Amino acid sequence: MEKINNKEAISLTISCSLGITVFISSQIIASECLSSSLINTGFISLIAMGLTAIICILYKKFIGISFLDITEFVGGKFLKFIVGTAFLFYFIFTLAIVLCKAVNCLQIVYYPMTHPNYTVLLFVITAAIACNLKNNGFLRATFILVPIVIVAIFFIFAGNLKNFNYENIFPLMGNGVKATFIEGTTNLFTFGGIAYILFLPQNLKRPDKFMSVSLISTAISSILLTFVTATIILMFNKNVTSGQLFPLYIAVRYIEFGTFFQRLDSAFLLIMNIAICSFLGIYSNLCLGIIKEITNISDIKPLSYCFVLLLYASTILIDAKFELEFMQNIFFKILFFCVISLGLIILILANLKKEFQHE
Amino acid sequence: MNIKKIFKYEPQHKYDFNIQSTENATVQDLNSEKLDQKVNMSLQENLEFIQSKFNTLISSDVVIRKFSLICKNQKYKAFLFFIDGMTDSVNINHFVLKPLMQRNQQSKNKSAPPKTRQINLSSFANYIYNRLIPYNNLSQETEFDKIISDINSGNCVLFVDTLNIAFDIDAKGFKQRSIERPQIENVIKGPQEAFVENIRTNTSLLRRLVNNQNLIIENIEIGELSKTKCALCYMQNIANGDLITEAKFRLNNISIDSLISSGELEQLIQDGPSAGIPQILSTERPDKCVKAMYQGRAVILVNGNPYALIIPSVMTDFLASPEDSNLVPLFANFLKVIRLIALIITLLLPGMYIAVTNFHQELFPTELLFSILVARENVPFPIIFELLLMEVSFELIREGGLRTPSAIGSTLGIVGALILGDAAVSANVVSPILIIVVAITGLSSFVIPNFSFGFHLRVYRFIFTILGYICGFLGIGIGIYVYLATICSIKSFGVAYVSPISPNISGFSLKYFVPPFWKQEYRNDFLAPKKQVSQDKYSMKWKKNN
Repeated sequence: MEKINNKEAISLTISCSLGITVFISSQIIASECLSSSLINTGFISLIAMGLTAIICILYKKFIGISFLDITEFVGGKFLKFIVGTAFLFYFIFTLAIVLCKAVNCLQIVYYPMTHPNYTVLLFVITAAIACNLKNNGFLRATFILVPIVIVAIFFIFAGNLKNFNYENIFPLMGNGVKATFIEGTTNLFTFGGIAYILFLPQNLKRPDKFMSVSLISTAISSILLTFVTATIILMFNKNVTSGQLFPLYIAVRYIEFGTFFQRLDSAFLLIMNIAICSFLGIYSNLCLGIIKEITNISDIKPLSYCFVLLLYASTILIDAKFELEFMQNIFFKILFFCVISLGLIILILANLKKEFQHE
Repeated sequence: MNIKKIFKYEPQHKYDFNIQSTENATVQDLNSEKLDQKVNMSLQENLEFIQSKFNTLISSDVVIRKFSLICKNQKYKAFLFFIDGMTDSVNINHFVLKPLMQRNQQSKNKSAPPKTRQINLSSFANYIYNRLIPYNNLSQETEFDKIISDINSGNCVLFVDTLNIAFDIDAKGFKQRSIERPQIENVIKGPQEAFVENIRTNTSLLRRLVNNQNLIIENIEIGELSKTKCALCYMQNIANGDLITEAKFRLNNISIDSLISSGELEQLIQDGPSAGIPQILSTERPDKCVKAMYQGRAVILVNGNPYALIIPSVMTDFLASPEDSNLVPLFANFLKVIRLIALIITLLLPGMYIAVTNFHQELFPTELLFSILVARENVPFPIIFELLLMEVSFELIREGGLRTPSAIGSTLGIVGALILGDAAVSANVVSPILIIVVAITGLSSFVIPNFSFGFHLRVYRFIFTILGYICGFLGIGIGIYVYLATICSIKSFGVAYVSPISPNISGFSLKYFVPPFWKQEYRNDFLAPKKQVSQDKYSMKWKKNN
């Protein structure tokens, strides 16, 4: 992967969180916290910022060094392999669950006669193409597409202003303080970009700007999460937010845009498809990068086909054999906390080891 | 009928012509084209050699003029070798043959002024060079490789007995097209000059417009057999050194037999195949080339072709018209917006139409949807068939219009568009709304200023149509991402194709839109020019001083 500049890095990190925010987490936050969703969003945003800052501070002694190299420094090649595999599993799972959710939604709304496996196949082929493009093509495409998706999110919020029921934010504490601030902390998984941040420094053209890049991207992700959650919570009651469709899509159907375009949900679908492709491209390339690092394969491109097959298998497996609700509400959260804790522990140990070495 | 023949077997004598595989022979021929031989002192040997190389027994336009040259009271055999039609006969008669064939008086005249006597008469070659051929562009050559190449490009060569050099006289005089108005890249307010086929005329056009000694024009020959002259032009003090080195490296490492056009060269030097997306800008306008060179780009000219190649080129260049810089920024940017809309329509409208009508009918207001349905009521074909039929018909009309003589071309377009379209609707083969869709798409494709770029959009349009038909906006969304990612993965001579939009290196990059001329203080940073600043912060000093 070629080195990327700060703006590209920010767009990548935002895109990583955006996929999870739009398709999974906003709905979970709204259904779990109800009227206190916005407070919960603000709370987890603060935690995310803090977590990002901690990662950046821990990275200060390892500017421009890959996370897996730091792991190797801490515990040798074996630990590098284990940690790499754990992160790989997390990223593949994230990809699979987002894809699964998006495809299910598409099937319900537009393609009831099409088996979801075919739709997944289309996305997987896209991921394969994105993996095989040269010169960071997927990355530059993301840089162009992310602003469009952000504008779409703001547009949905602004377009629905007159449909908002501001009473929905009361009572302020929703299901209670415990649900908002303690159980609600688990919603931190929406910031998938934090896991991506761990793998960012070695790709930056200016590693010294790592902290600002990370903080800015987390801040923008927080704002987007707030807008998405606000749109959902101010428009719908619990019945809608806990449904199968992702509520942001339903929110678009309420937008009235003159007499020419009767309903804009199809246009939203187009933008969201592009966002999923972008999300797939980033995560797939990240996964291939991790595989390359833990296996020392010089040319990873041929392996991309095996990877996308694995992704395809994972997605249809989740879709067919597991309860999607359980996977996204519980397993995904646990997995996120495991990998982030693992990342933090590795960084802390690396810092301690470096201190000891100096002494 | 001969009855005997009925019962008699005779093997058939078939005339069976097959071109034999000449793989080895080709290699040998190619090798033998590299003429290492030098000019011999024996005139006869030189004559035989060059006669064999030019196949003088077969070639009718090759002229060998044998004559005797008198010098220092001695008679030397000599011959002139040139190709009829490529040289200026009058010049050869007056300034080559006449002085050479006249009895040299000066060698006898002892009372000549001392200045003339200073010429080194001991060297026979120098004597001919300095005294006998009054020509401004004359050189002494020893390599047959160079001599033959120059003869092919219109020079006249003199061989003299006892001399192991030949005199290469630039006596070109072939007929050529004069400088005319641009055929494709027309502008209203800008210069009205276009390149011609002759490379020297083209370089002079550039030199005249650049008007700066830092303009470098390097000649490079491409083609083992054709030895086509190409010129790499750039501003020495602006263009990035690495870019020029890379351009020279690519141009000097092309192993082909012949190069006829700049289109061929474009394919040979571009970074990769890139799925048909043009990577190098081709233009017939010298002013566009000069502007590019002042930005820090390089220009490649090919002899025999009225198009120059500009390297590196980015996507926004293909959507820019030469008119843009001549207009007020407001108008230029308005046109740029129109072009951007045209790009989206050309690429996506048929696909979108088919996606909306097949999958996402809710996007349209009910009344419009009804009218579409009513219009399609009597059409027996599926919408994809209708659309492809009309698109292919449109392409046929366009191609037919191009290939027919210009007098009939426009008529063909009108006949095709009006009569065929109207007849198709009347016969219920297609719906009227589809005619509108195809017509708008066709019109939009004409708005794209660059032919190659427009062409790639035309081809990709069919892919988007099929994607829209298969899975609606899902397919189109995936298509847009793949198309965009593909475009983003392209590099043109080390520059990202989507520069300066992505990667966005710095704040002062010139983006898609044209800023006012006084605000264009910096050159495009993606070109990494030697001089970043192109004008003072206050370019209009008259305003500031007052």
